Amino acid sequence: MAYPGPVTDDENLTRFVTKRSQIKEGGRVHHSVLCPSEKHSYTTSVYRTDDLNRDEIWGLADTNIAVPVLAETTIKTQAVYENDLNLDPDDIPPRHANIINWPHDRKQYRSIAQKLAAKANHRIR
Amino acid sequence: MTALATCDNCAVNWWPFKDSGVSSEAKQITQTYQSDIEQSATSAEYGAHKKLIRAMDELCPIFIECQAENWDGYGAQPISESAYINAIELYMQLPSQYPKPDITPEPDGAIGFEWYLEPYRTLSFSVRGDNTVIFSALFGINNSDYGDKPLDETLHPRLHELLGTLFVD
Repeated sequence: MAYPGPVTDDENLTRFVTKRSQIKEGGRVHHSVLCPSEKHSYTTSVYRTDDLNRDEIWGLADTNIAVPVLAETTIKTQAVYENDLNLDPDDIPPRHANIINWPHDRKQYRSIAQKLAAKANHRIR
Repeated sequence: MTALATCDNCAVNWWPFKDSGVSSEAKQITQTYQSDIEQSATSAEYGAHKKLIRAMDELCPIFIECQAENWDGYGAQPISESAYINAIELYMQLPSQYPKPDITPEPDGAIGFEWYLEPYRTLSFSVRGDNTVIFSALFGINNSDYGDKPLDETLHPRLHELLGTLFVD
């Protein structure tokens, strides 16, 4: 899968979901899936999936996520920027990026994750 | 029976007194409480007991499933016993006139309670074992709210108000 190039405002960022209990009625994914990891310096790990088809996206998950992936939730880069967050496209592994600039306050980052989730598209595998 | 309620799966006893789960004195008090309920329970007490069993039924699987570090493959923190106990306490306080929330393990070691009507009409409470409830709400595209309130003996009025806003407005 080719490197997607510079980040654009309208790009798809996909977060994979590994717990059944995080998937809600109708295939909706709970907003906490998008919360930053305190263990990983308050970042949210995502993949840049703009030009990939379904099979390629699930293949990306299987290659890079240590546990079985059950669903995915996808947001646009624009939603990230609207909430004063930013994206670090480190490409390690390929297509990986981190959503950064999260506030460290739990109240604040949960509220932002809720707003991101409101704009997300979800898909069960 | 040695406690008000004991989960057969996770072996966590729910004690009606905060910070008293391990002392012999607390166990004695709880045994008395249990005995009282069994011998002379009113319908309200019996209803509370049933609600407690339901709370454990819903929360225990989450607690067990997410006790290990990295349970989501992204470095999630384990759900602690104190978070589980806080979640049971919050569950017990929820007003019965509202729909049951979706309960979810959260990657920061918390347990979330969510009422979701549509993308921009949703309310979430979250507990992580520090006797605090964090709330976040979306009541419209440009109408959000968040904060925290103490987890006391009864549901904090602000949390009650948020539920009312979600379901009545």
